[in-house]
Amino acid sequence: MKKPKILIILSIISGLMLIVSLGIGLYTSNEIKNRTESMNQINNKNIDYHIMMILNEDDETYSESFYTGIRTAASANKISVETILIGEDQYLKEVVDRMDMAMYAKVDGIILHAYNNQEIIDKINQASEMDIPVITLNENLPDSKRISFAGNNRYSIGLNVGKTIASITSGRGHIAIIDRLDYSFNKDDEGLLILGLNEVFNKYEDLALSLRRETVQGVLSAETIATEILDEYPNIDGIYCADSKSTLGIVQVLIDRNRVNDFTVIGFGDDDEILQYIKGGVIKGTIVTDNESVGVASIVAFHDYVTTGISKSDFFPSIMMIDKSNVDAYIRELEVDDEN
Amino acid sequence: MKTKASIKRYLILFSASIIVLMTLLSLYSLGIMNRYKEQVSTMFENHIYLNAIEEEIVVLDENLLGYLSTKSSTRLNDFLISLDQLDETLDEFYNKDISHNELLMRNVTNLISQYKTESDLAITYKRQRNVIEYYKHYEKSKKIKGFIFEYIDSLNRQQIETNSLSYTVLLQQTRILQIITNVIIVDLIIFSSLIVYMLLLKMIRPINALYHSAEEISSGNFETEDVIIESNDEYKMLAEAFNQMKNNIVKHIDAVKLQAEIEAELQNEQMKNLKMAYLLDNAKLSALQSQINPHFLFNTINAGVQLSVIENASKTGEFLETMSRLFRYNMKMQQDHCTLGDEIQNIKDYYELLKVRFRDRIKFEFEIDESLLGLSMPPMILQPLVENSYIHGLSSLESGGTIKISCKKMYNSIYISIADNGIGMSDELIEMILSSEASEQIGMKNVRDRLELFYHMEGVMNIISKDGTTVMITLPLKVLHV
Repeated sequence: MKKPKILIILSIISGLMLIVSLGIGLYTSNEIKNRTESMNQINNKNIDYHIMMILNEDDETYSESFYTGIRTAASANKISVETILIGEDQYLKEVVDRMDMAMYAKVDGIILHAYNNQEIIDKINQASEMDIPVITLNENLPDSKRISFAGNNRYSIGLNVGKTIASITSGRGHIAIIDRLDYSFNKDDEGLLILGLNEVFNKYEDLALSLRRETVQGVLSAETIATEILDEYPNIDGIYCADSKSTLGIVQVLIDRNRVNDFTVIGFGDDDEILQYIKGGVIKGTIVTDNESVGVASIVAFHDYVTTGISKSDFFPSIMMIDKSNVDAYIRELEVDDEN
Repeated sequence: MKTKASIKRYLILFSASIIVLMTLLSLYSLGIMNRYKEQVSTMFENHIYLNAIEEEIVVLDENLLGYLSTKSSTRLNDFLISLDQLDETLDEFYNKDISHNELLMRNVTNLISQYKTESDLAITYKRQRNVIEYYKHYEKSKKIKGFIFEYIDSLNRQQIETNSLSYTVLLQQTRILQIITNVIIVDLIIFSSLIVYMLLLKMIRPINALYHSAEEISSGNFETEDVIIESNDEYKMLAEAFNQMKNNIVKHIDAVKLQAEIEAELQNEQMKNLKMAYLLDNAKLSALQSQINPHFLFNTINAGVQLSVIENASKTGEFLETMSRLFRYNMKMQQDHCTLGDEIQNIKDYYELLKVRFRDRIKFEFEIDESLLGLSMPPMILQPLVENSYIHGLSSLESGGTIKISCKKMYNSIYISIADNGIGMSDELIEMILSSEASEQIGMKNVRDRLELFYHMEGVMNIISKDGTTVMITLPLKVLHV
């Protein structure tokens, strides 16, 4: 007696479907299990050191490349970094509390966006007394008990900017500086920047630093200052902006007022827009620092200190002036880095 | 016969398969539910413990503040109890190996430890009534509590972020699993139904085959093919028994049929014998009637008397002798058969009597193969034919005629012919004689019928009407021998 073929075929298909469905079901449930297991892990379990990093979240030094440097160096040295970001306007109020928290939490080290502020210096010293090494960023604070500093050499920046402006203006003009508002009591660092600039400008009789302004709210504040310069300081024909937001703010005003050709603008940072403005001749040059190396240097300094008791006292990243002559090569380099 | 497979086994196998499949499905569902449970536990266990820690710190702080405010030993005791509970919760958290960010959790633990230190100091200074110091340390403990809560919030946030991602994936996977489970359930129903259907077919088909075969047999068709069942189960046994029963019935019917045929044949034979006896009796009656014809008998006897009176000689004696022989032969007709020689002798006697009556007007010629005289045949065959030739062929002729009787053997047959040169017969009459049932031709028909019955063959007699009438009898040689 032959069974109808269609029934057998249907049974086989149905059986196969059953097996396949069960297979997919098991596979999916295994994925759930795997996910559960991956979720159930204890993160940062196998670490040797715990660092608390307290940063000013508005400072553009702490770009993605800075964090890349931190991650790379921390991972290589089995260090876990806890990042606490404080807004610039709240920074002075909160940083001391966060340092207290770090000390109460008995962290192994602190990386601190520091200002030349006595409260901060006291906390650095207190932490140091509790055997918590502190690495400062932004401000060197050589008088505190910090173990190391990693950050830009503002004197070198002043020299670079000065040379570029002198070259572009052929040694003639009145220059204004738009810097970020500094919370330091001691203005020595600003002196370093101006010292560098003046060291160059002094070589030219007709080139002088005529105005210095500070921004507090990035683009908006920079736009206000730019408007003030245009309206009230007609003799100013060159501007150096110490951060990228101010740079973009100034440029925006110059474009709006159709005064681009009347000013030599030197900016800071390597934002895409800034690089495009350099290519277009709106900005004559921009200062670019190696933030990744700052991140790496701060971790290395900590690790060196806890392992050998000695660390490099300060680290200055390389400074580069990007202008029309090398902007294309720099963009290509960035693209290659992105691809990698 | 021991069956390898049986319906019982099929049913057990099928039921077991369904039970196994259903069990698998249940286990599968349970397994998936278990994994959901694990995932959900992982998602929320952390929250539960962190919230417990937070609540215990709140209670701890309330008790600390209570003690510092009232210096009540009860509050201090509560504070110490809360402290133990917090330690227990922390130990439980770590012992259970609950997922967490070790970095932040270490901070929480260290902060709790620092909190304990500061609160202990606050209590100590309170006992010492050092208000400034206990307040300072209490404030520190409060600050640390704030940090702890911040970290707990941070840990909870991290867990929520992880959970959000996991929940999205879990939701997708749940949907997939839901679809798959539905597919499995539907597929299982279809699969089981197909298996049940095929099993039923397997069970019903042999019964159907048996039913159709039985229906055929009941309608009288025993020629149906045997029911063949390939499976080696009870149905095969049933089919074999059924086939055997059918074949036995067929054999029995064949035997009955054969017996009936034999009986019918026997009855037929008896009927033939009765018919033959009847025909023989008829022939005898006819012969007797013709021989004992009073007129004939009278004339004959008168002639004998006249001869014996006038001549008182031997011829009368011969005549009477011939007549007596004729009567004797007629008497012999009571037997089933005689020889050809007897029949020839009877005709000769008959001729002798006719010669006395008609002198030389009727002549007889004999052309007999002597070797055939001993052959057997039914009696009273030739005399009616000769008489028929004489009466219908020659008697109306004034000039008389000749009746020629010849017997020849050719191949395996004997050919006997009675030919006269009389008036002949019309074709219609010949046709009528050979197939007639009319009583007028009773003599010829009787002869033909008896010959056919005796030899079990037809067409033994033929009549040709050409220059008179010739009656041809063809007899098989084999039966003629006595």
